[in-house]
Amino acid sequence: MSEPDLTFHQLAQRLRLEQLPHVEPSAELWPRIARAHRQRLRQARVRRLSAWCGGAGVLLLAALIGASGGWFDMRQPSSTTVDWQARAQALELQLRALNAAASRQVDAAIGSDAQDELVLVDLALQAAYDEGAAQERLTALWKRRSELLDVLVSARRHNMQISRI
Amino acid sequence: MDNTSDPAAGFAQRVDAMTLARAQAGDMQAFATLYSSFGRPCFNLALRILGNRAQAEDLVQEVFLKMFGAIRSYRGDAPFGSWLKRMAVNATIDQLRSQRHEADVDADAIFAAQPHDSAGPATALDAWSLLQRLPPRARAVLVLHEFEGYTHVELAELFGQSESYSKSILARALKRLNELVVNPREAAACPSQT
Repeated sequence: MSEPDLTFHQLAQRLRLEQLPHVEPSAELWPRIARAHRQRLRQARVRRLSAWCGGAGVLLLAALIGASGGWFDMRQPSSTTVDWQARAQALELQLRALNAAASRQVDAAIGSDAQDELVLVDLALQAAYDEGAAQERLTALWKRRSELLDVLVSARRHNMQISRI
Repeated sequence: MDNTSDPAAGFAQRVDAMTLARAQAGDMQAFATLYSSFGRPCFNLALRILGNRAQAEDLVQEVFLKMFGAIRSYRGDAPFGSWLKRMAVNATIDQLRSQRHEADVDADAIFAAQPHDSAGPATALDAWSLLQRLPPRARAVLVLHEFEGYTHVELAELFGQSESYSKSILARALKRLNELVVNPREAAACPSQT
């Protein structure tokens, strides 16, 4: 004949559940947790730094774009379809890159006339801005500067091709 | 019955304001102090429910890392131990939920998934081994209700089920314990019964 079921309280008394052992976790557990915590902190720092650098880069880029855009806006000739100023600047960058790649021996020989005139045009441009010259005068100077740079870039390219043969 | 309620050892321990403030400032030594106080009760809670030492230690690690990250948001509305215990219980329930081999909702399925084991009733009738012979979810309900003092309303919220769900599982768990303790011969003779 079976006994009637016991309540949990009766079971607990019978089994001495109050004596259920308190087990100690491994001694290695805290060092493991501390290591994981430090690693998470390091990862969080790296993430923050990356986010900060990314944000700063975006801001810097936005500032540069804004600044150059504003500069263009102030000086861009409204009556012409060709932006001689921007074109001259782009050509100047090309020329610098080509000059950096070319040898010094070749350097002196190329387009010395155009280089001399370019110096004169730069001086004229500076003077025109200082005097507050009319937009037409500025545009003409930028156009000439662009043409001279075209000559120099072409000469440099031609010379480089020859020197590589 | 709550044998973890010993204020000197369980979740009821008090945390002094200085330790708490230092922990909230990210002081590692303060975290170590909190672990030395609450690591063991947290581990025992997880071990009783999960029944596996390695899993329990992983869970303690998870809970403490979470606590380190969240301690700045602790405002002292509840005792620190209760706050941490809640985290530990939630993590344990999540762990049980992740064990997809066990049926989630049906008490019959839960007990059918773990019939009387082959160890038989003649093995040592200590409380620990008896607990381990219950299905994990039934063990969780029993431990939380009978040892940690959770009400059926709280259990319903924890498991995302109705109150009758935890009542049903608890009743089945008690029945199985009775079979193992009071009428072991019947349990041995009818191993398929739950």
